[in-house]
Amino acid sequence: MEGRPLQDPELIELAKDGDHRAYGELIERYREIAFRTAYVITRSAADAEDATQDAFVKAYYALDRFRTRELFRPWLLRIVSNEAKNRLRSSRRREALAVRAAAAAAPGNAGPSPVAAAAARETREALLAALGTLKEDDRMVIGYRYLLGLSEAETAAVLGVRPGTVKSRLSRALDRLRRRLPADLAAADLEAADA
Amino acid sequence: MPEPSTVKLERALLSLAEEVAYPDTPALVPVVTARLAAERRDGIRPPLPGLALWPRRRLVLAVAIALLALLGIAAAARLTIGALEIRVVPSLAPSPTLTPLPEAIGRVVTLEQAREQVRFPLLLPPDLSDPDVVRIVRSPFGDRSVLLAWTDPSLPPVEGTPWTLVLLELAGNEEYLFKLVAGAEEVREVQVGGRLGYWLDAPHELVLDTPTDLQTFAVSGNVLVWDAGEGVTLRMETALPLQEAIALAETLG
Repeated sequence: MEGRPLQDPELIELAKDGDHRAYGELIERYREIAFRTAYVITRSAADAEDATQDAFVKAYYALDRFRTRELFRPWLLRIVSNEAKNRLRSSRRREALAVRAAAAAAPGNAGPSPVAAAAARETREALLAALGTLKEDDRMVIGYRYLLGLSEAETAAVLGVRPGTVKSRLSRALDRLRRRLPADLAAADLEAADA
Repeated sequence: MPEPSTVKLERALLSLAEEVAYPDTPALVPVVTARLAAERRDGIRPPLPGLALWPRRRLVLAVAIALLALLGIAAAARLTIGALEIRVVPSLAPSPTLTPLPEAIGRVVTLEQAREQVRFPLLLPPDLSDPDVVRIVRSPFGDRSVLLAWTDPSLPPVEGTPWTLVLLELAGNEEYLFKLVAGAEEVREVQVGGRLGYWLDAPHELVLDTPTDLQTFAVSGNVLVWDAGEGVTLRMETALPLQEAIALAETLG
C-alpha cells in the first residue's frame, strides 16, 4: 500500500540491490537499540558510537549472508555486540558495568515521599553495583534481557545460543546476582525499587 | 532475612531499565552512508553486496595491491568468507618455527562430544573412518567450532606432518580466523558445490583469535576454504591438488 512504512525484509532486499536510502532507513530504525547495546557493553559513549558505526558498516557488507527467515534486529545486535566487545578488549577496559540510574518522578504524578524516593534510589544503586560485580557472560544475558528489553528468542540470537540455554543462563545469572546483593537488602526493598 | 525472590528481582531489573541514563543516540545515517560511499570509491570493498561481484572482487584486490606496491606501501588488502579472512601482507615471510595447527588448538574432545557442543551438523568425509583428533575451538564471540584431523593412509600426507586431512568447521559470520599470505597471486577464487571458495597452495600463516589470545600457526599444505552455508565456513588442509580437493569437499556430509 502506497505510503506505508516498508517492512525490514523489503528494506533489506532494496539495500541489497544498492538502494542506500533503504539501508539508511534500517539504520534509523535500529540506531537507538544498537547504540544502547554497545553502550551497555563498552560503558563509553565514544566507544559505543564507534562500535555502532562499524557494526552498521559490517552489517551492510554481510547483508548477502543474512537469511530472510531470521529477524533483522537480533542479527544486527549480534554484530553490534561483537564490535563493542572487540573495542572493549582492545582498549583493555575492565570496569564493571555500573550504569547510573537517573532518579525521576513523572511530572504531575503523586510521587513517593522523599524518604521513600531516597530508599528506592539507594536500592537501585545497590542493584547496579551488584550487576557490576558479575562476570561478563552474566552481565550480558541480564543486560540484553532486562536492561535492553530483548525477548528470550532475541537474546538467544544475539548470544548465538539456543533459547533454552538463555533460560538456564538467566536463571544462574539471577541467582548469582541475588547473592551479591547486600545482606540487608530484603524483598521489601526490591519492591520499593520497583515503585 | 529471606533472599529476594526471582520475580521481585526481575521486576526490579525491568524497573531499572526505565531509568538508565543512556547518552543521546548519535545520528548515524550520514556518517555510515558517507563511509560506505568512500570505501566503494577507494576500492577497499566491493561496490554492493548481492550482485555478481566475486570475479570483480579479485580484480579490484589485485589492482589495489599493484597500486600499493607502486607506492611502496606494505599495507594489507582483505578477502573474507564467513568467519575467515584472508589478508594479503606483502612483507610477510612465514616463520618456520610455528606450531602446526592440529597439535595446539582448542581442547581435545570425542567426536560425539563435538557433535553435542556445536550448533551445526558436522560435515565428514564419507569414505574415511572417524578422525584421529577432534578439538573444540572457542571464538571470541561465543561460537564453538571444530577441528578434525586424520592420518588415514588413503590420502597423501601434508608435507612435514602426520596428517592426511585437516578440517576446520567454523561457526559464525564474524571473522576470527585469519590467513596471512604474501601476495594476491597466492589466492585463487573457486566454487565448491556452487558456493564461493578460495584455494591457497603456498605456505602461509594462520592466526586464530580466541577468547584469551591470538594464536599463530604455520600452514604448509594446500588449503581450500569455502562457505558451506547456514553460517558455517569450512577450511580443508590437504596434499591433494585443487580439483581432487574440491571433489573431496563436495562429498562431505
